[in-house]
Amino acid sequence: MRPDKVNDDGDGQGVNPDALPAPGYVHLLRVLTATLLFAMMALGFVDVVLRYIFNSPIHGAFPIMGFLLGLVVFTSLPLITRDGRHITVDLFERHYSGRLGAATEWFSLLLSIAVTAFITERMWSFSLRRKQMGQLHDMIDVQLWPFAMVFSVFAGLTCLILVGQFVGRFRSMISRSTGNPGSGKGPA
Amino acid sequence: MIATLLGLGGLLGLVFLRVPIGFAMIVVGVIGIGELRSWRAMWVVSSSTIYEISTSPVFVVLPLFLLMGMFVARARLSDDLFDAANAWLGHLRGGLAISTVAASGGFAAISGNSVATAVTMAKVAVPSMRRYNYSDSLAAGTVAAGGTLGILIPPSNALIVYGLLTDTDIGQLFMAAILPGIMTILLYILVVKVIVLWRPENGPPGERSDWRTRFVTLGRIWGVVALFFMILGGISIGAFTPTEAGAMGAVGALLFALGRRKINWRQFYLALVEAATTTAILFTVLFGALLLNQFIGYSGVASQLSDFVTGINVSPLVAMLLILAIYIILGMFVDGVAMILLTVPVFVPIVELLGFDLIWFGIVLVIVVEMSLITPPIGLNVFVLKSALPEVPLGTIYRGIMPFFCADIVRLLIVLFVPAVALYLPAVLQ
Repeated sequence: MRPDKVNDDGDGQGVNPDALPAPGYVHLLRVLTATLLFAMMALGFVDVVLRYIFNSPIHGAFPIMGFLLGLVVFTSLPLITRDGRHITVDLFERHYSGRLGAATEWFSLLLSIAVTAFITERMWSFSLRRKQMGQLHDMIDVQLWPFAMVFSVFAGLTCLILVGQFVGRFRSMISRSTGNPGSGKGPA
Repeated sequence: MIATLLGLGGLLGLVFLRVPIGFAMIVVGVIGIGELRSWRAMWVVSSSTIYEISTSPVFVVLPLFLLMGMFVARARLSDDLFDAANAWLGHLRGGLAISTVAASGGFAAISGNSVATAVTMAKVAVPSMRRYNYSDSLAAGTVAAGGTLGILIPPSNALIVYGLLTDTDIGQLFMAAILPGIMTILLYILVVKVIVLWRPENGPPGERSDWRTRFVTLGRIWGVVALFFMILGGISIGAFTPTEAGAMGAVGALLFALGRRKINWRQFYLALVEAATTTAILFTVLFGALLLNQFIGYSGVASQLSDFVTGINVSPLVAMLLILAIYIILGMFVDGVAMILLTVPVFVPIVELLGFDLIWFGIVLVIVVEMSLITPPIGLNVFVLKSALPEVPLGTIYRGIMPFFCADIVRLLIVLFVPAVALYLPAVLQ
């Protein structure tokens, strides 16, 4: 990961979520993903404790933790994309200046849009297929399709964020070329 | 073979064009599967792979150990670890550097993360070393190298990722990493001793602590010891699966931080957000790595390369040395978990066909990845250290690291030629 993404919180793990001005949906996603992860941790802990002390583990705890994992991953995907925290190799970054730098940025952004659109479509199709089949989880009586649909929605949001970044840069480029720097601010 | 080479070349091209590694792998993986199998198969495989990884209970182990690391970092256990090590060893020549290595090992044992270990120890240990006129190169080298212990000493996030990618038992990987981890700490301590023997002014002795102070500081680190033994002990006796150990460890670390009054609501919330987003970062790459894995599998390149090695009468060990040489060169440019994610789909099938044990290879791989964290021109721990100590020139940091890098080579050779160092404990504790 890029060294400039190391925060100063003492954990060295990434960007301080409060370091960047964030719109409302970002706060909402952070609260959501934090709650889901906490639920996953609590469920795992309570399951172990109930099993060892009362000999009665929570039925389906393991697959439920799996579903929670998927929700954590997909609710966090828009956050890491917005903050540009995907793992990249910046070996030649210093050589990418001027037009070459801009071209690689455009290319990377377009490809990222394509990939997130692909994931959105794949999860949506997966969800519709599972709904048609009425497929349940192997271990618990839970339908699979709603989860895939939620994943698709968050992947779609990620794609929209990237499109927003693309439009923002495009407008910024246009305003630079017309000498009007004030109109180039892209969507958050 | 040509399709694979084109695919891997394309992957490197995309990665060097700053496309996120995970997205680049997804692109190459799906195109490769489409070309080699069928486009219809690609549509099915891609959706089921992404969905199944996302909801696999086995993969839950990753965010839970990440969360444990976040809580541990916020509990400021590092200060107590360093104080305890310093009380016992600080009066020796080079004692503060030795204390830093020991404290890094202790912190690594519960944080599982190299960057976290390096950042934390930089803040805790470097001011003390400067107060006692340690040379910047020794101070920086010790912290950067000590920080790398984070991804070897269990529970290590890198080993978890490797285990998930290769379907190797994570508990056994943890056991296998214990002896190489201890060996690394001892080798680093040896390096410090050699440096201060050669140039005593680099590491003057600190103050001698009385016995009361020593035992008081030792008493403060019981939480670290308890967490470590709860996790590894629980896994080794079969009381917990690694996932359950992750949940117990995360709750344990949280309770410990709460007990020490080192965590408030905001810190708690930030730890959760940070662990969740780091999970998503790794999962984006895991999606790509597992799709790429399937592409490599369909291509049959692993068996072709294995046949090639057999055909030219090269022993598997020479082939392994070649693979490691590639890793060391690659490690100069790509580092950390990214290197594991990028290379495991390519190399592990070959390693398996050559007859090597995948647990052992996991340890060898993590050692090479550790080395990549401190090798120029791209060494993540070096950059982390530089951001924590902006006034120390990069050249000084690299000079300080070099002796530790030589120790890393020795360690790699030991694990390579004496596999029992890694495989003894998993065999005994199974």
